[in-house]
Amino acid sequence: MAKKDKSEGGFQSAAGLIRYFDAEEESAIHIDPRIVLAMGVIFGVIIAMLSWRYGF
Amino acid sequence: MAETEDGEIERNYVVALPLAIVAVFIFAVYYLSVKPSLFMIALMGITIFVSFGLMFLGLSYKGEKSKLYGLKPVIDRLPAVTKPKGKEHVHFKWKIIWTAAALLLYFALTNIMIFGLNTTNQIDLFSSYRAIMAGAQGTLMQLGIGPIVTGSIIMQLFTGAKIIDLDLEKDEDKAIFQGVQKLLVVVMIFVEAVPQVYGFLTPDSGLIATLNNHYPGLGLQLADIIIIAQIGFGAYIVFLLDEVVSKWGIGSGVSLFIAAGVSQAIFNGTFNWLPASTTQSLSISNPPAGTIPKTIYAFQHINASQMASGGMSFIFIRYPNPIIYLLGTIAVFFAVAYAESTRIELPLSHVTARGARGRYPIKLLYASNIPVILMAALLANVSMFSLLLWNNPSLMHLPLIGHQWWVGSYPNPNNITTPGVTASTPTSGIAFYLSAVNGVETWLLPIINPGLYSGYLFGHSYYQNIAHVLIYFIAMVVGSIIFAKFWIETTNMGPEDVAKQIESSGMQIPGFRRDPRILRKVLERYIPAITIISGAAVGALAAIANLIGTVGNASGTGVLLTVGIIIQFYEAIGQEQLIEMHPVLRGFFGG
Repeated sequence: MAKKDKSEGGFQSAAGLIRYFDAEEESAIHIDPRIVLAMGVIFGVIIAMLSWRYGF
Repeated sequence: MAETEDGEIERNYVVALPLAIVAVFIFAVYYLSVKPSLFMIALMGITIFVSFGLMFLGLSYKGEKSKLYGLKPVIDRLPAVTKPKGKEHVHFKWKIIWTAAALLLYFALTNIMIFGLNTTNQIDLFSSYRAIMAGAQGTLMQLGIGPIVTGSIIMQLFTGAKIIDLDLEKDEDKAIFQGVQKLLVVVMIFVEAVPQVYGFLTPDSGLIATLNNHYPGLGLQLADIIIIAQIGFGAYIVFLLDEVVSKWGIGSGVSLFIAAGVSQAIFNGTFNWLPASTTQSLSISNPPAGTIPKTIYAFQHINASQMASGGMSFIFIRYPNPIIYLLGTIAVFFAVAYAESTRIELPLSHVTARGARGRYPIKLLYASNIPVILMAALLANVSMFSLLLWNNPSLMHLPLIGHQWWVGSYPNPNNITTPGVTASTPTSGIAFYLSAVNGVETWLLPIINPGLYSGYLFGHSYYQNIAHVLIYFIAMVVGSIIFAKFWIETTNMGPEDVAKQIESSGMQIPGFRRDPRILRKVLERYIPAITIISGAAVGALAAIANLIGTVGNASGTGVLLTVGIIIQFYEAIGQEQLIEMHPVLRGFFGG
């Protein structure tokens, strides 16, 4: 069955979405997954702090 | 040739002229009709420049391939989350950690309210589709996975219908598909975020006043932009988190967030002991919201005569979260689990290795739950845009379709008395007939007793109510069939492609000649029929689940999707563990 998987060439489907992550270009701006998580955390903290500081 | 030798794309620069004329015309109309401030002129200028710039890149492409190739300079540079390098193997433990971290962050962000939002006056645009769109109203996750799913639907529909000419068996075309889809998600974030601040997520007056002190006259505009920026950035974080989970974790972020949201809704709807309306104290007209606490409360506080005159219906069928919703949820769960495992198996044998037998399963839900999620997302967009056309201060003035009852009218939030009806419940027009029917209370009871339950009819007659149920049901079934067909087309799951795959794996159907054409003929007996049946079955299942009702506003579609997602997740974990135990298998699964 190994061959069969290969012919599908990086196809990934999830909840109705068709994605080809293997087909992404090398020239793309690459973001480390740790940076994504850090960005999310920092974003959340900043917004929560702003709301707390100003009360709206 | 589309590309010259140094990779430069040949363009037809004449296209720029008509585009520039249209852009200038739009800008002039905007300027003359709104008389905007200098700040808004700059903003509008940037928006028009970017959108027409993209159009130019696409339209000016001279090659014989799809026009989308013209966008290559942009899509090649769109940010992507780093992939595990080469054959580097991410350990199962780390996959779990990445998945859990993404989920945790997502949950945390669904609990952080948007800064500077007027919390007293807001309408949830996604309303009854909230469970499927994930996210939460008024929080940084306002848009949830809406933009991702919508962007993907557009790509799939257009590719499936051959409007976009991409052959997804070619690597080059796959890269374009993937890139354009990413670009569309960013576009959809703006399309879904910007209209929200006009009438649905209004800024707090305190924020506007503070900003006005610093920048006189620009307070409201700046406050709007602050809110749009938060929703937009939040939606982009969801998009990146999805990539993190897909590349480093198990399954995909999108399905994870759907399942998490629906599970939370079911848990809340079953066990929440806080009253339905949190601003008022607990009473029989404001009982605990969850099914179980509500039932216990009702038995403690309703006496025998009340029980005979309406108490029963209060417990079993009336808002909020009656027992029938809980039963409906459980029934949908089992029905989907059963349907998921129903399959036909084609016997296969290996051509050279005698005795090596295998089976090729063709599932009853061949197109899986995908048609339903696409249909639900489509209907969510119908509901959202009809609401915008009805309420949005600028869109409602559009000629022909703005604020028209036949597109869809919505109740004034101050006049709602019927429990379960919100400011985003359509009350007439196309939006009403296509709106999800949530629970027996909203359709069956008005049919049985139109007088008592008139609150759910919105002035419609008995027959219009029945028509609503029928139209919604038929739309779900027919829509799902169409999406199932497109899905099979775009994902190479048709008879010819499957025949090739089986052939190249060295298997054959015993008793038949070893020839892809024969295989294809056998598969043609099943696949086209099963595609239609699977689309219809899954659409009908979701519609029936919505008709019965589910606890916690999880919606039948939501439960259906979640069951499918959990089964897939379970299988993925099983596969991961198998790989951990037998590293040789890694090659087989491509991990």
